[in-house]
Amino acid sequence: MIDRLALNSDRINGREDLHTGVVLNSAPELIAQARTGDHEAFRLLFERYARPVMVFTYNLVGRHDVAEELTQETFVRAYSNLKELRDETKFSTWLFGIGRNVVREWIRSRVRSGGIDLAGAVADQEQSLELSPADQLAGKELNRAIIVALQSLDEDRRVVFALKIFNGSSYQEIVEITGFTLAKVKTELHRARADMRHRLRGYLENR
Amino acid sequence: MKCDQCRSTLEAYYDGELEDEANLKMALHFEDCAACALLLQELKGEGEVYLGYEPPVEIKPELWAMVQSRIVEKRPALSTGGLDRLQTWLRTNLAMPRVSGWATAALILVAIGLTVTFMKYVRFEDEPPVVSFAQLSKHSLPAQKPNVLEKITEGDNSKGEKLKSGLKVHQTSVSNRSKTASRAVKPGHTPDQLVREAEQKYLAAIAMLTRTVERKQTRLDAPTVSRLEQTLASIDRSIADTRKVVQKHPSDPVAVQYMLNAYSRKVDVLREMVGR
Repeated sequence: MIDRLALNSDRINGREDLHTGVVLNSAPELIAQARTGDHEAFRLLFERYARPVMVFTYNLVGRHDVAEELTQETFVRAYSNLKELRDETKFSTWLFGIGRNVVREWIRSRVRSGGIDLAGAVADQEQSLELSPADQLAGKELNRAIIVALQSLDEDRRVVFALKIFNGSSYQEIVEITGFTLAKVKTELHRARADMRHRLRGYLENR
Repeated sequence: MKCDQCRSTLEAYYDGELEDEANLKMALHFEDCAACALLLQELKGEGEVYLGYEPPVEIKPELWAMVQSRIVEKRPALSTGGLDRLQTWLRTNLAMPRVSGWATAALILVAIGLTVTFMKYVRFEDEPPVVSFAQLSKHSLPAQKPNVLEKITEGDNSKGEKLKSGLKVHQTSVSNRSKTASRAVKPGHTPDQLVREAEQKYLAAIAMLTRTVERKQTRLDAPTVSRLEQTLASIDRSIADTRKVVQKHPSDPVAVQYMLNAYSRKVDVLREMVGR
């Protein structure tokens, strides 16, 4: 209640700051409200988790437009299946699990339809960009190198690496999101690190 | 620790996935082994490079609009379990009831009435002993009617005995007091039930008032909201503390009184916010 009052105090001051609600409302509380069909509560959950989910999907597919589409699908599925979430404190893990499945389905559908080779597509797309010195200074070149290297990884390896390195998930959370065993998570992460090290050696040696 | 062991757990160490004891062993090994320490440094160096990675991800407002347009016709899928249905019903019908201001006021009055009645009942303890419970029930209540105070304690002898021993009234007002007690307690209701009932009424009133406050908040300035929030936070702490005591000592009338007073204060503050 206090949280909601604090949220509204910002509205009183004319600051419709979505992020205030993001900070102040607990996820379990928002989930309980969203389950009753409260779109506003679900919007606050979206505000909180949209970016991490989209970063995750972007890292897996390497394209902003596709990541946006897959993020949208992830949240629609999450809303439709909120009742299946048994432990509200694990909403984030559950949501990333949905996101991982959505990405996997997308990749398989593309492969079945004779679609793109992710690594090649990203490499082509990224190599077509001319980077200015300012962009290079801003780290865009590094961003490009990392996303290209990521797309070259085997899918399972890419998922584990992205979750650990860029989303900060623990091993146990990765186990829950992917359904892999702990041993597989460790192995894939170790191999992904080695692959990425090899592909980014230019950056790693010159840092 | 040998280098082989160290290197097999190096990444887990860097990822913060080891237990304290293993962490300590690793740290000691790095002090003695320059080669393993170098591997750790390389891993840290890679981590710093990845920290510089900023994916060009932008959450556009249209993204939520698209999600919303797709979920607007949906409701979260309901499972078929009876418990789930009950939870949903309770949540939708009781947790945030949509009632008018008059109904809210009526509920508040009921809650206050229950509290006052309970307080009167509790205050019997504070008065000098003149007539025992047995005498009271023998002399002041019609013989043919069941003794309501006896009914209070039916099924809960330990609490009943405690309340009986604590129930002391002035001789001159025995009859009136016993009538009050008769009014205060419904046949078949234990003191615990009464407390729970009062608490539920307060919670219902608080929920409704909170919704009203949220709707009317635009009329309040930020400093006022901040001050009232602090007051409410303080009251919430009181409620939480007194509830713990009541849970430990459910038959302690003083603890119950403090808890209900805290609820009452919260209702008062919320009413003040609604009235502003």
